[in-house]
Amino acid sequence: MTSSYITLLLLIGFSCFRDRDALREGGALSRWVFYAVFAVSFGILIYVTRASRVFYLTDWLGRVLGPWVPFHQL
Amino acid sequence: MKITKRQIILLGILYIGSISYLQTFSLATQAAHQHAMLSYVIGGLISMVALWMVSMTLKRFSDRNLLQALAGRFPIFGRSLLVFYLLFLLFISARDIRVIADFTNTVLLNRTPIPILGLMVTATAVYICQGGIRAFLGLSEIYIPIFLGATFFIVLVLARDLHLNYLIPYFSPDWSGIMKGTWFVFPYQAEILALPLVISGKYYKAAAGYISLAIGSVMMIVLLLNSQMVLGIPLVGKLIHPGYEMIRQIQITDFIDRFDLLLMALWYPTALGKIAFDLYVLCYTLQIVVPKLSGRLMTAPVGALAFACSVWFFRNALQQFHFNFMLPFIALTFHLALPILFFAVLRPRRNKPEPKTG
Repeated sequence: MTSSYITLLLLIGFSCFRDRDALREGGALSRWVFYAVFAVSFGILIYVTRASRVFYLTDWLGRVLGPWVPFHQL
Repeated sequence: MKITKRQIILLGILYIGSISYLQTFSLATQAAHQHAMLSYVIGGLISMVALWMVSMTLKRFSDRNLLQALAGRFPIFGRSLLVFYLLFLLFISARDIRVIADFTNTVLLNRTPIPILGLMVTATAVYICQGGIRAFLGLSEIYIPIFLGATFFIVLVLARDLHLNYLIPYFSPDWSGIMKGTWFVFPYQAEILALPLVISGKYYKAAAGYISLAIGSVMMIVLLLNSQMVLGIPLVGKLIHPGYEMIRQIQITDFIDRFDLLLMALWYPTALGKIAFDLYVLCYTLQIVVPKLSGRLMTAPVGALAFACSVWFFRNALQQFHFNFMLPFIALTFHLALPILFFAVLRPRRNKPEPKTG
């Protein structure tokens, strides 16, 4: 899992370096959202790989939508 | 940048005809057996109706795309609706990344962890996406004709292994099963609705959308029938990736082994292009919802988020595959209910000019 963190951090670093001019000219909102979305993504990856019990969205959606779906088996 | 009819057709084929080969063959065959091709025909016709409604709506706004028209006509309600659409697009992007990562892990790189594969796929898609619509058009102009040729080639070299008797009985369709098959296939075919959302009404030609949907569906049907006639119905219904197993049967000579890798190499860029276009539509929608955000700048963070969600949303490859039972329920809202809503209510203002959006 450490390799996933390192690879994601490297790619985030490379994106920041590559888009540095656009970040400077893009305005404060774009800059903040840019960093915030990266932080959220990294947070999600750490949560999924480290948490003892993970809440999987499609598991939950499956339970919620299950009664409405016309069939469950083929 | 001017977009021609031919480019829209190729882009549409790229968009609906890459991930669908991995996800729909097995489920459609399980549901409709040898008549699964009828599920594709019915799914294509329903998608065609949705596309017609969207195209008719777009005709009312000649110089803008549907997202701009919606946000311009209903600034608050339209943007609220687009937020839900954003979530749906994020889900589709995450699913596609996960599908490709799982597929690569299963058949090509067994020892590489799925998150690393997902990251590599996402990084490539992000760099394609940063090239803008021109990059997708270029990609589809190169790879779709090659892929069409490859499909013809597959049919040709497998001709001696095609067993028509696997499709017996030909004329006793199980309509309940066929409709179940349509339930799985429709969301994948209807993804073509993304084209009029981001391509301006000035360049988007309705006929190009219909042709694209028709060719994409015919490609799926040809490859499905090929898989069924080579592997047999029970096996296609049991395998996760019957299309891949079908091309593994290709043996041209005694000395060319793993010919499937060459065909995979021709198909893989179309799948990457599909994910990149998912991200493009996502960033474009984000820019329409929050006009102060730069869509191009958001490509990399949105890609990272889609990757993280691809790991978070699905427990494993089988659970992702099984979610195809639920997905149509969500997809029907966005691919059928929204086009009907747009068609019914989205009209330009009569008196004052529309504000510019996006």
